[in-house]
Amino acid sequence: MAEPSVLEKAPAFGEGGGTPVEPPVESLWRLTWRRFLRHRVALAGLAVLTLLLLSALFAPWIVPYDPNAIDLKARYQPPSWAHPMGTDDLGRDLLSRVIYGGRISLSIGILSALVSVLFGTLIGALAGFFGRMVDGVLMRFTDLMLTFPPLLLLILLASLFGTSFLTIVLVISSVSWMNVARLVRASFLSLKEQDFVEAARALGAGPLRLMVRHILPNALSPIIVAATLGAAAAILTESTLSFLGLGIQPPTSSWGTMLQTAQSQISTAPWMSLFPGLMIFLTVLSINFVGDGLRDALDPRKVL
Amino acid sequence: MGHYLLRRLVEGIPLLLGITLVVYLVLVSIPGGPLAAYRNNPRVRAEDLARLEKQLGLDRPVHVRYALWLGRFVRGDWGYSYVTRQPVLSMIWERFQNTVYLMGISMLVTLLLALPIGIYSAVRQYSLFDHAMTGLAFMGYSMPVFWLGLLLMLLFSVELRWFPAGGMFTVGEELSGWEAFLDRLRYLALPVITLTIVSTGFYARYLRASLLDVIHQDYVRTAWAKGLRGSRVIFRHALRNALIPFVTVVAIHLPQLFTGAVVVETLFAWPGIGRLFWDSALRFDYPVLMGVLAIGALLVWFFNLLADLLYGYLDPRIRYG
Repeated sequence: MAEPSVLEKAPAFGEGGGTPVEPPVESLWRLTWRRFLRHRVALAGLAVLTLLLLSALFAPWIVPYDPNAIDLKARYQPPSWAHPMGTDDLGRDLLSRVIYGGRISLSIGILSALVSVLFGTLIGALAGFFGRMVDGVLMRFTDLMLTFPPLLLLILLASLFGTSFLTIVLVISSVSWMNVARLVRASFLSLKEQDFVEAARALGAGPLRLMVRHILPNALSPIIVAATLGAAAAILTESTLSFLGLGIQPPTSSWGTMLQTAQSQISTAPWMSLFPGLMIFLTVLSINFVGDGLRDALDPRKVL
Repeated sequence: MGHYLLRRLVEGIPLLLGITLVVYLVLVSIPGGPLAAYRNNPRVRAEDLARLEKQLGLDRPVHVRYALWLGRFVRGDWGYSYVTRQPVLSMIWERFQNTVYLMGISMLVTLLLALPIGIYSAVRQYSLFDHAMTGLAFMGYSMPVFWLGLLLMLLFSVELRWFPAGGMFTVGEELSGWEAFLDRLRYLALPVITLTIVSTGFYARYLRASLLDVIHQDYVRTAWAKGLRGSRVIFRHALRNALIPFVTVVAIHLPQLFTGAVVVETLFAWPGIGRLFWDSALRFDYPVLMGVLAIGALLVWFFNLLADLLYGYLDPRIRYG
């Protein structure tokens, strides 16, 4: 006797008692996470990134030495068991300094990406939603900012406004929000014409509610990807600024600042340049992998 | 087409005016200004200060000063550097040539590498080569440029002593012909290698993506079905269309050849325009900053326009309204 086919096994609709079996509904976030898990490189990136974030968070408890403790007897020591990354020109332990430097570099990167994405989303949403004059004015402004050569603008702003933590975050975000604005404007332009927005409007939703509750959630995917990749770019930008002498000032050191001091000792103490740079590289690479994985996971057309 | 070009040109004028105005306002709003050093000096009398202000035109209202600056700028009088007292235009021109020389050669090397790599990894999608290329490209643009430069410097000039660590040519030696050429080549090596490693991956990935877009289209499948040789299908049919977005993205990045790689120029002591800008920013040398930013913005705007026109020229499906 032949096996009954799957179709025959399934209860016919409307009979057999009870409610019809509904397919399990998966939320967008669960689906994205499941797709993300298939992206092995992105997962590796996420693992490294988590480790880095944890070490920055718990820095005071895990560092072997005080990062600012000067020990003139132990200057310029190459990597050893006592100092896994060696010591610097003042005999400070580089591993401890690298862990503490991660706090500055990571927080500047994440905060800059957040500020620039928030600002870009605001500009793009207003321009896309209201159109006409608002769109014209905001997009001309965006074009204007895009016409500046980015690195030159960055140097100009940083040299004019100084090098505190907050100004650096603001300077980096002020040169990097434009692409998000364009992206968000484009999504808003197409979404606001759709029926569900019209329906919400008919139910009496005001512009703010339409934008925040109805359109924005549907425009989130590219924003999330842009924010992730933006954090990677911001960390690189911060290190560039520091290298040019326009970054966080000592004794607080980001990875970029550490590299800048190490540069003059490249031939005598190369480990001083090696490790901070390696950390920037690893961090940015991991974030870029995560961003790439998110982009694929959030793209409904992409078959994984 | 003519209408479109005219509209874009007309639109560009307020944009460029806006940029120079914004930069001008930012620069003049900085406390102190160019006379800050004198202001804090007790031996400089108030009437001398006033005289200097009048001389430099700083006593007039901002909009008048901007209009005067703009008038002179358009006529090619870009003022004098506060630091070196040289005319800004000739300072910029000198550095500009050095930057174009360095960045032009890097761009050439980058493209010569990126084209075959991008094509091969698209044709052999998901092969070992393709995966390796993707990995290397990610590493390339995740790397701090100056760190890579430092490592290369450590390896090639400190350890191996193959290439000099900075400068454009050997100073103080009279070299001619072949020897001078080799000498310049040795100084070019490290900055060019650094820039190439950082950017080749980006261009190769871009070309790969646009070639992959094309390769699965019907007309390419038809070409295969006709029994054409693989190389002919790829180079004559697919690549020609895949190059359209690639060419435009190269055009958009061209202004960077002129505004320079500040970081590489600083690291390898290359007397280019990026380094000039950085030096001037640290010394608050406003006339130079204004000049470099204005020319930089002009170039960005121009090459964006060029990219759009090029796109329309290469792809006849694009119509400008």
